[in-house]
Amino acid sequence: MRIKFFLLAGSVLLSLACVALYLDYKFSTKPIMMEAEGGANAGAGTVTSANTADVSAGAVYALSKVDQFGKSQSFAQWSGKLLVINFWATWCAPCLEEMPMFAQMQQTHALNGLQIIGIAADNAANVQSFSAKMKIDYPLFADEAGAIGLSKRLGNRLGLLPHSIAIAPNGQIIFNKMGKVTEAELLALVQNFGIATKAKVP
Amino acid sequence: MKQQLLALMRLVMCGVGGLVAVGCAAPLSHAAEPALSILQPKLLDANIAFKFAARLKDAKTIEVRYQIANGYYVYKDKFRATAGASEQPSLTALAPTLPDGTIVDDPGFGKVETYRQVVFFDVPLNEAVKNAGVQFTLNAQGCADVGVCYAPQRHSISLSAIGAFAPMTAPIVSDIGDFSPASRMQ
Repeated sequence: MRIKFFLLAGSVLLSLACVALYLDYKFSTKPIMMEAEGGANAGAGTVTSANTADVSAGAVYALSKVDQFGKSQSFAQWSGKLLVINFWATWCAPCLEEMPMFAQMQQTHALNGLQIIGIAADNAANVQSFSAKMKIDYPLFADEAGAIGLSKRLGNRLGLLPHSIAIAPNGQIIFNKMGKVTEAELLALVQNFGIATKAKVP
Repeated sequence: MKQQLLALMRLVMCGVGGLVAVGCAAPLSHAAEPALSILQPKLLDANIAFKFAARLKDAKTIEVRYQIANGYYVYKDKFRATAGASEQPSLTALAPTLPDGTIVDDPGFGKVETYRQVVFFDVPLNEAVKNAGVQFTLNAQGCADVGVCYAPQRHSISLSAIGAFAPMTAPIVSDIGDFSPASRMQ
């Protein structure tokens, strides 16, 4: 009788352990890249966040927003890709400076699994106008009321812009930076976490 | 034999229990550790980087003092002033008389005027403030030299009597741009 009890309890605990480990793997936001100094992400003039994200990639994938072309986009479509989310606004000069580079990188590395999107702390009219003027064709979403709040929950305690995060194809948040992202940083992300099956990363 | 089997089961249980503890504790422990172990300059909270004060200079004028920390700046054209009083529905703020700023060639916006350190300016009112006072709101927006911008700030204050500013605090020296290992967050 006691043996049966222990066997039963053991099975339950083993199942729980497996579930816990799976959830840990699936929804972990544990960092796996970016060295403090000398790495591709510690260039001069950068500002990087060491704050803690309290939103998981799973919560990001659950979002759905309307882009600058009026198309409703479910973020779940980008799970399994290298998803870069850039928080920006038309009133933020450093934000505008990096966006042409984002557009270029999106064009070049779409086949490597890179998907860049922008969430603006701005209204839809400003976002549409800027997108048309600057020919930014990766998805941009206007969320004047919610963008800064989401950015803060992703670790940007002071609500600064620009702020960018990257989520690896396995759902881990692997990059979290306040300030402009450099082309070298983005390229390093593609090389390390892109899907190099369809096109070769230079 | 039965005793040995029981001991073995207890051993397995302890192992599984430990595994569960690790598995369950891991996601929680992530919340306590920094997202990324990298350098972080000491950026100021917005209310420290941009300090707002206002006073009734006379019955028809509000004077603003806007103090900006070293390494930070605000845009002249982002200042927006509004005023109102529930007992004086016709009371409004007129355009602020902003002094010339420093013209900078901003890579994002082209030539723009900015202020640093401290700026004083008047906000005229369309009529004299009565005893109940006035509710004054100033919107402003600024950035740090290191290449990040703060969300638009909204400062509000109730002013009911002509008076002086509170003493100005010493200029804030921030550690912007300090990427020394000492500034690394653990």
